[in-house]
Amino acid sequence: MFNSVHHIHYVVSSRDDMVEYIRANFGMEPEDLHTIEDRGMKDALYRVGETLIEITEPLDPDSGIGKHLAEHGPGVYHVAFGVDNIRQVASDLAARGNALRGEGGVTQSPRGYTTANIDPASSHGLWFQLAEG
Amino acid sequence: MFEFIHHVRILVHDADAMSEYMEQNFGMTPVKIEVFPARGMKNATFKVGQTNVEFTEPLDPESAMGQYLKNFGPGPYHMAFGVTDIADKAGELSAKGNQMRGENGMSRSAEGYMTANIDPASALGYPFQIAEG
Repeated sequence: MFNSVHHIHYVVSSRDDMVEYIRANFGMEPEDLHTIEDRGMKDALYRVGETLIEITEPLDPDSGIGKHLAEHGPGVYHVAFGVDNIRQVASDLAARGNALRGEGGVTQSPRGYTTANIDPASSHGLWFQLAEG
Repeated sequence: MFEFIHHVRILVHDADAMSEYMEQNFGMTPVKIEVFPARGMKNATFKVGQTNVEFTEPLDPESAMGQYLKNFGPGPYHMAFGVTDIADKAGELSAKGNQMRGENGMSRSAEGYMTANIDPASALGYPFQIAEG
């Protein structure tokens, strides 16, 4: 069912410092730099093969992602797996007994793709996110 | 420099239970399930696009992975970016001032591929790993 690693979301202390580090050491430029004010995220996006790498500096230390940085340090925040026909997939997962977040089990991301998020209580404690688009 | 996501390691409490969940809910079966006694881990490996997704059950609760699982619960632990000519890349990264772990900046993984690991102190606190093979 999973056809790719759709995106990997990183959390870092300073987006601009990490962009500079990646440029100096790996010779890679971000596809985009932007700030999503209402989510409190200052982001850099990279394309690595079939995967989008999202690097986020949290702007609000009390947000979920801000707390993740404080507790874990810089690192991987979450991984999303690519699927086709995500609404159908979400509906099938719900029918199999998985609790899903969001209306109809899907959520629109600020980047335009659609995600389905399985409540970790349904999946051995692991937060699965599926994505399409 | 990064060509694709080489692998993602996701910590879980029970590799067999997660494989069962993956099969029931996503119709996916592992490429292999393997125990690495010397590394204190049991891995269920799934191929997702170009990426190996390793669900790792730490066998030693006192190990770094065991502690991480205990403190933070199941979730992504580590990931590696795929490169070509890893020995050259490790040499270049070292020449740019990065501290590398292992002899000549490289290590052989339990799975057989080569990795180069940048000391987090050189990379804004994040342990970058590149891999080949």
